[in-house]
Amino acid sequence: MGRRREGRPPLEANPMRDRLLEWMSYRSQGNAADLPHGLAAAEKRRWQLEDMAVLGHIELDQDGRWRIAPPTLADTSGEVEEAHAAVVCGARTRGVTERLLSACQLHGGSIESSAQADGRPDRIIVSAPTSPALSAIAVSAGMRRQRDAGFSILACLPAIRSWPRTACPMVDGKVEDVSRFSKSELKWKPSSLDAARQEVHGLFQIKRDWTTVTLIKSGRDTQAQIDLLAGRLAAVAGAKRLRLDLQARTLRLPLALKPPILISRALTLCSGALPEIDWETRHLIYRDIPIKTARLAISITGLRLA
Amino acid sequence: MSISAVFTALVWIAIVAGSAGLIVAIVKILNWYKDMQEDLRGLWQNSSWPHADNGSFEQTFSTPSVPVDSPALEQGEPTPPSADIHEFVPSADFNDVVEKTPPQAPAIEVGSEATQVAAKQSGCVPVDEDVANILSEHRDATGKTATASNKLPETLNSRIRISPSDDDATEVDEPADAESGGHYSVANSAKQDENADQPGVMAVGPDQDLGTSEPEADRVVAKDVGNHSAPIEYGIPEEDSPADFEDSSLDRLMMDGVLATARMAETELPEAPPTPVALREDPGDPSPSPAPSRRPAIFKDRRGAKRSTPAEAAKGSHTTEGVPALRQAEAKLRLTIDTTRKRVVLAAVLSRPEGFPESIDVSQFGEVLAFDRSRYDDIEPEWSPDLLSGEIRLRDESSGLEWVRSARPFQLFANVAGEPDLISVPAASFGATHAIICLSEDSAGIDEIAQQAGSPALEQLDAYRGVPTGWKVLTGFAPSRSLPERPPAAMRPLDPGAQIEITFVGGFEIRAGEYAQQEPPRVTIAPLPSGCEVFIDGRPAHTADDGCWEAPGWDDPGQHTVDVVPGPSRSFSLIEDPAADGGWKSWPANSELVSTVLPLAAVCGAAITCPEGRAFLASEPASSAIAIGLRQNVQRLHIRPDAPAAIALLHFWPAFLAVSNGHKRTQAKLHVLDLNSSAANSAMRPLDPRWVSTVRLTAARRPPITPSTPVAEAAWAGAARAARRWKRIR
Repeated sequence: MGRRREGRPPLEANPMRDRLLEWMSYRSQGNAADLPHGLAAAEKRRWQLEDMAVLGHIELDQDGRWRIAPPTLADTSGEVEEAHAAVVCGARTRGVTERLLSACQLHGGSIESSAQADGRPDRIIVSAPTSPALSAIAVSAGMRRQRDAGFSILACLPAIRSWPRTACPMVDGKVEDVSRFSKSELKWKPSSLDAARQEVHGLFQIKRDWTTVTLIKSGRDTQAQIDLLAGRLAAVAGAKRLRLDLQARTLRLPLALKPPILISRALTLCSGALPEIDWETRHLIYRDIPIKTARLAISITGLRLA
Repeated sequence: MSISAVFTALVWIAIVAGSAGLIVAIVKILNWYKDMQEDLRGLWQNSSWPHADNGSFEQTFSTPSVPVDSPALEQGEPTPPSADIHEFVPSADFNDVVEKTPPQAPAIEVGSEATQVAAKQSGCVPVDEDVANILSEHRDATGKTATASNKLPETLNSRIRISPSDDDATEVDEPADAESGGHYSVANSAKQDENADQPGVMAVGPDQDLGTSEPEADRVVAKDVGNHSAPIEYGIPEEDSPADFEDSSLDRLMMDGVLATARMAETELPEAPPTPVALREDPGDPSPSPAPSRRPAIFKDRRGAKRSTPAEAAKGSHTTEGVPALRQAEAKLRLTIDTTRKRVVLAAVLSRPEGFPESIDVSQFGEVLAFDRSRYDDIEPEWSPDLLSGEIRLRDESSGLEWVRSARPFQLFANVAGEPDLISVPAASFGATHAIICLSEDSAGIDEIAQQAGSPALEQLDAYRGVPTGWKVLTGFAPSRSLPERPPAAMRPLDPGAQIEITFVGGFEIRAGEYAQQEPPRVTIAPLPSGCEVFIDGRPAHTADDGCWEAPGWDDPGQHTVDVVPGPSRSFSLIEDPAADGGWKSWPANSELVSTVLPLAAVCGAAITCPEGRAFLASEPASSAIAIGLRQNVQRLHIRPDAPAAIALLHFWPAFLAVSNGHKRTQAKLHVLDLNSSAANSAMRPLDPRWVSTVRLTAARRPPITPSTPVAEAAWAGAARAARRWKRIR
């Protein structure tokens, strides 16, 4: 995640700055280890891939395998019906941008590009006078258009309390480390395997020789494996941790409660920019969130407004 | 009557005249035949070849290739009678039977000193039926046949022993070659079996008693590796090779046969016939080895040679009929030198091109797993003396995969990035230290070439275990300069050549050697001697303004090969922008997560994907949310109980979305969605009563329309008008 920087000049002839995204577009799919050293530093590859997934450019597996998504115009205009704008997601090559420029010229659209921090792909916003014009641009450019992308993706996702989890027996044998996620402090606290067995609720992370499992307890002898990001939200369900600013149209939530990628993608596509990080308060800030999308996000995450 | 008598007389005259002419012609033919027989008899008696003493000569060779002024003829050496042949053939040292295929392949070169001695010693002769029978019996006893012998050069002869299989009935005749100094005919055992019963088509090899005991005789490897294959060795004679012929071992004769095969490949004549698979775990195993589906792969140093373009290569390629196409890949060798244990290990390294599976089932070696993306785990066959004699061909029959290592006179190894041991390389390069595996008799010649190339003296690992008899491992070959003279073809891999380097500068590299089409690399060549030419894909290249090399079509998508003639070559590929070729396909990503809420739907990137013919629609929560088509179809959206959203997978493309939270006008809202071709097409169909009812009820409430544009209002007005009109007609 990085801070948003705007103010770049509009996309002109064909500057291809997004080298990593273009490289991935040519490769179509691969592993995190495949990324060239010149385009992605080894220690930042995982973060880069996660940011690309949040921006809707790729799909990312748990084991680091990625695959490029087809080019899509994702509507950012949730409730402002008069302003028809969409962010360009998915594969991006010179051919894609050239066709998009031609389509915009043909249908009266405009393109604005702005850089994102840490070398993430530029945010490209396509604007059109009307919604049909935006659809025509998408068709001419050979791209899909997703109406109200943020809200639509959120509407397809299960609530955190229903997030997929796999029931499993309690971990036995030797473990290296056991920690519990503190609902009040929003951080991992040392714990023990016996405590994990005895607890009725809570999220535990148990590190074994080679693997680390995340277990969420729903009873003394009932536990299930769950995705780490979803598990943290599930562990603090009902906590008043969300801050919604209706005027600024921002949604803030603690950095420790970073939502799963698909939820984060839905919120990110409302603006097309990666969420900002307020390091002082350690909060993630999603911008340009329509009210209906914010209400849906609150419901999906299971958090409450502070 | 008179006419009849005249006619009869004419007929008789014609008959008499014709008979006379026929008699004259027969007499002329007889005379010509007699003269020819006399000439042939005289010529035969002047030759040094043993021949049948009954005087009846069946010409099985085009012409005896011995010059009339040869010393052998001058000395008037006696020609052994056919009885000598009968005594000679079963000789213990003859494991094979000679075969010579007339008339294309005269046995021995005309005019050279070597030929003269060969004529004295080899004793190739056509045999009569009795001799053929005896030879056939002997062949049956030994399971082998032999071919005419020629002298192998003392040193530096590229020699590859190839073990033919019974499945290959092949025959190769090499036409005269001024450089090579001889003609050869090769036939494997199967073919020889076919010819065995034909009198007069077989020639007998040199009598052992007449042979010389040259040191080269030690090189003869006479092994019986089973019914399926007899090791064959070939070498490439040099122009100034000694003229005498070698000891008369029929294994040597067979080596000569394969020598022709190798020379044929090196002279770029039509390629050699199918030569057998060489790699076997147990040379003595009588079970037949897998039959190759293609001609044997014989290595040729192609540095500096012009290449055909990929399209030409594909055009020119052909497959053997009836043999299923195999995907082929390269097999390399790994040489591990354990200096502590004084041991040498040889392993096969199977490459793994793109598309090859994670696991393969190699015949005789079982399952082999992929080591990484470029190769599989090593295979360690038993390093027998035959292993490196010819090509190595490994197969995964179930997957239709094949790995080939072409036959070559010696194996060259060097350090390769990412590999712990020495890996086989096609040719020597500057600045690298190489190891060489060669036949023992070739080591002296290789050492001599190494000195010419500026390398330190080679070290022979004689005390090391693991090296089979007859082979040597030489280390420390580090060439520092080009060879002063062009070496024989077989030795060219030892020549590092001119130090020309082809470099690809810049470009947007997607994979190793593969670049994006819109950013191709620039081709630089340095240093470039004045006598060199540069080709790209076979087309003459020229320098651009920036000094880089270009040629017509060099930046088109596909593979391109830069050739410096003479000199090195290097290839690169340009990948076409995927956007120009249909782009990227969506797939049901995250379906396991989304399907808990909306079966059949998925989230791929920023889009909701659903099966063909379906459309996804999501809306803000309401007590009623109905999707309406342009002229038909309505479907109520599913209100999520756990989240403020209404969703549906529609079987039609929606044009309107009516949302209502109560009965008041202000509690309703009508969204006009984007029309697309699917919705427009539905307008041509008959109206749907449910659609009419829904539109009428919605229109009666006069809800606010979003967006409030004239186009949207007109679209809804048209739908409402159509619904009302439909009712009036009824």
